[in-house]
Amino acid sequence: MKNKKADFLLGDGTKKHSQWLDVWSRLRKNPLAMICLIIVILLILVAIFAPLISPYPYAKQNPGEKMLYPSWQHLLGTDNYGRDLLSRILYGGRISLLVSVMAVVISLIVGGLIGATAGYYGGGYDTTIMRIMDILMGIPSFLFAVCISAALGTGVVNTAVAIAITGVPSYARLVRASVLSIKGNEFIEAATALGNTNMRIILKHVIPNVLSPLIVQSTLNIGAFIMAISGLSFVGLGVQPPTPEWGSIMSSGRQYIRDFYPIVTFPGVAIVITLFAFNILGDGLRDAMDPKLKK
Amino acid sequence: MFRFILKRVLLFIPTILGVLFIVFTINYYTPSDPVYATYGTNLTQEEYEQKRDEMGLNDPFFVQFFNYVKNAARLDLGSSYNNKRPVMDQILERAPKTLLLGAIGITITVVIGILCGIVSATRQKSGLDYALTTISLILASMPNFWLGLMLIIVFSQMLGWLPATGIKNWTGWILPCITLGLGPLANVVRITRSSMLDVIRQDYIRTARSKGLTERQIIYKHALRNALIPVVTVIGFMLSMIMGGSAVVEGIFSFPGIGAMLMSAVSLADYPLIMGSVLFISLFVCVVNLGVDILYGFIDPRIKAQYVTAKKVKKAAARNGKEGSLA
Repeated sequence: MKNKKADFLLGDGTKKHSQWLDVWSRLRKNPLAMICLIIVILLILVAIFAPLISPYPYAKQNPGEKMLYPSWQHLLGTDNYGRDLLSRILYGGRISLLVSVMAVVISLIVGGLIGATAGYYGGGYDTTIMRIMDILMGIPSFLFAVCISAALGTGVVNTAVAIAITGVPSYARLVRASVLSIKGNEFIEAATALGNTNMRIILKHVIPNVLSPLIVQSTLNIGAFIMAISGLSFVGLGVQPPTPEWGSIMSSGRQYIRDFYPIVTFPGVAIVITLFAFNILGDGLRDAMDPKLKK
Repeated sequence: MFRFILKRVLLFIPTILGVLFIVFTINYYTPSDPVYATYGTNLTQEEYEQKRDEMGLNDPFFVQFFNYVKNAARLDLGSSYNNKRPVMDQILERAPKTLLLGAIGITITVVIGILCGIVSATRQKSGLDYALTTISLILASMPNFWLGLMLIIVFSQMLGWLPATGIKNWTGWILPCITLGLGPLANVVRITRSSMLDVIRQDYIRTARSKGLTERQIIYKHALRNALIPVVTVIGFMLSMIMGGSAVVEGIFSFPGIGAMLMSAVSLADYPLIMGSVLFISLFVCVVNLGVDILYGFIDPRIKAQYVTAKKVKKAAARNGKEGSLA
């Protein structure tokens, strides 16, 4: 009864329902994005259940089966130590996704807070922070990651941090822009009038309203970060062998490229599929969350 | 216009200092000890302390940074730990090749990207449009080092057309340039396509059509010029991607440029060389970005006008704000 009254007061006569249901129904109409969503879910499931579905333990060396081409026994062949490539790639997906999600979370939190405070407080603080972000963006992000990674050292956590730092400026910019666009709204004014602290307003009112661009950016970033992580591992920073990571598997197969293609080829195919899925899903989400943008 | 350029150039100084500061800070926290790296590990404690003092490593952080900037201004970035040669000499030796590689890479990206974008936009929703968009998206999902390796497998190993490594003659340039140029293609295709689609629906295009111009004249003389403006803005970003990617790609093709040097420096933990190379490439990207910014002001009179009005608007707003606060 109360709701009906509210609807009446709103005056548009529409049934009140969740914004996320709208997004979902719009996303469902985009077949390519739905296929990519399924691929992404499969990738996540594979990452979680890698130990159950891998045909062989990823580290099991078998000197008698070195560098075999794909066969029914080893669907993607074996590597230079006779380890099953499919198992290594499945486990590698686990590491790539894990590091990438860690990096996204770190840069989202840091960049989001920087951007939200800059946009909210404005003034000299805003100018200084945004200038710093501009400078950070001026350095090619891969080289920046190489630099930080060289200083921090290798390993899963350090790699996530190195990649996360390169992602901070874009989040800061995005959140700042969104905050600026909603700052003038009346509900913010009302929250201030009610005596909320600035931090509470940022966390409770501003951030929920900038969520959709953040979700889109994060989806795209998971893909971009997987690429960067594999790049770092490929050049010998990042995740170190024997931990399987797509970039490091390729790096170990590089010296055999003349006579044996599977070690460098298949992890790359995995990256292409993963990135493609995340990119298309990100685009689909963007269209679904902001239908005005779609052309 | 002069003020616009001056402002951009002046803003460039803090950018350079900022980049220097970041690179210096990262270098400051690297796990290596410059004294041991330069003079070897068999120093007595006393000698060690003396060298440390000589190298200025006991100075406070900001004093060290100041000295670093001073030296960088004199083109002195220290010496490589590994072969003891000045970093700047090594960079300058290799810079022309890397810069040329980057220039060809960006040319490939921009030319192919714009062409595909135009074709996609003029034949919107055709099979060709979908094919071009999908191919460019797949290319965008490929790590450039993997693309490079695949090109080596196909064109050097299987077909034997092109050399896999080295640049003995011009054929050695083909694979690295293509590898670098294809990755960021998707961005250019997408931006050209959407901006072209925007422009095609404008009134002045309808006017051009009603004048009886050929489709070719309409697209290339009227639509394209206007559609290219947003593309210019991303060139700086594209170049940043290409120059960043050039490090790994140069490593794969054993291309004698800064990138390959950087990759070997990474494996040897040769920090002065790593930081020097990153600094050089970053500053190069910043300079190009500055150029793009200025160019942007020139090619579009609307932007020129916009800057003036934006300023005026700001000033007016500031004036109003003051009046408001006084009242």
